[in-house]
Amino acid sequence: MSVEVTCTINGEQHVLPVEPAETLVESLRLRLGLTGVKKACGTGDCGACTVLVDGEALRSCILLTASMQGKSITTIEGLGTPDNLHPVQEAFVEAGGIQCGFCTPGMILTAKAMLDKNPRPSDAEIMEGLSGNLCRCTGYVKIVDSVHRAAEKMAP
Amino acid sequence: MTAQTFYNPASIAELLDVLDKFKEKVVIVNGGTDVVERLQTGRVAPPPDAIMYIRNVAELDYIREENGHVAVGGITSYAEMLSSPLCRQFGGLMQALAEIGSPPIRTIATPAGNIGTAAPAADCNAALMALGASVVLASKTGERALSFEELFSGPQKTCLRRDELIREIRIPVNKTATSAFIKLAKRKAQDIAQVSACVCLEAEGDVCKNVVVSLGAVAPVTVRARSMEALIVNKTVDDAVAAVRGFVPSEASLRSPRNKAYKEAVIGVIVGRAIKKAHAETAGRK
Repeated sequence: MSVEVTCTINGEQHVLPVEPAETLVESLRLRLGLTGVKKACGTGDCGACTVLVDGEALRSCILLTASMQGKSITTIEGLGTPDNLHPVQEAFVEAGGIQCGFCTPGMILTAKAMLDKNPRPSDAEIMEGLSGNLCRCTGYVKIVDSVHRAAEKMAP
Repeated sequence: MTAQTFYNPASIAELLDVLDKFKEKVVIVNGGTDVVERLQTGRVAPPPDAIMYIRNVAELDYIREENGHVAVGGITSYAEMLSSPLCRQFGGLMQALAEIGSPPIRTIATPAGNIGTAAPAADCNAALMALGASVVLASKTGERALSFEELFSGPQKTCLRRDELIREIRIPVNKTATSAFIKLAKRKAQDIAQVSACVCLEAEGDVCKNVVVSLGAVAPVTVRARSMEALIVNKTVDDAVAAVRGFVPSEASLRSPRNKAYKEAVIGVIVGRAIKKAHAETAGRK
């Protein structure tokens, strides 16, 4: 028996009929084609499936879509557009914080949520904030640089 | 994925009605950081008919001090505890919370959920046991309290009845004690403890007077190591640290040949570090 969930996804209201045990990453990718949300570990450890739920970075592979009633969800597709990137996206491009790109949506959304709470994080705070996002290419140095650069761009 | 029905109660009364109706056929989703993954991989037994999401029960979201304890509601998250001035007095608890998962996990994961999951290596459970915490269980027939020592019956098993909800966690306030948590893991971030220890200590100068030692990941359940406590009481900190080094507490029950020798060798070291850290806090307080 499906559950009807009304929520806002990237600024648009959606009414989704979902299975009780369906995860948010499945709904976003398979029902809505939002493939910027990556599914990798499926256990909440790697951070590739991170989305913003009411501004908080959460793992969509361990969230039930049925629990998203009334929530506002932002995926990487809703953060900026190719012509008008969000400052965090711009910073990752400029500082070379992207190699294969698989972890990037999760990194950027986690960084965005972190910067909203702490606009000028230290190196240690960035590493702690991104400690749940795994990147197997970059070695993290350029990702930390990217977050600093984003902080500068977003400073009032 | 067999669950056919989804419940989203808004009150404790409504929640307990669903629990009473379905009992073992409903699975509770709190933060969901463990159970959702187990649902996906078919590892919830018996396969549930219904899923009940309880995070909209606002009356379970609180941290408050009352009657000599700090009370933490059943859906309160680790992140809320980490930023709570009331929880800051429990050094060992704060240190354990900071070791759990990653910030996005702590945003949503809950101590009550972790108690329900009953993983033997759970960081928060070791800290709560050393601090003498108890849980309040609610059902349609009333409430009862269980101490952490009574709570766990096996790996991933608790003494909760299937119609019971973990409504509240109570941590007694003890102004004369300090506590510290030490976790040994391979990596700094997002790792599961190989051995963890929490020590809650009342000292007079350099002498350990009262102590509670809890251990994670050395037995099928989180254990209180009374055999170690006996070695510590009435000794100076240095003598206590020397006494526990190399000591294998009778409460540890390690069977895997893969790590038994290693874990047995490090338990005393980890407890020793926790004693020193807890005592350093005592000194810092004066």
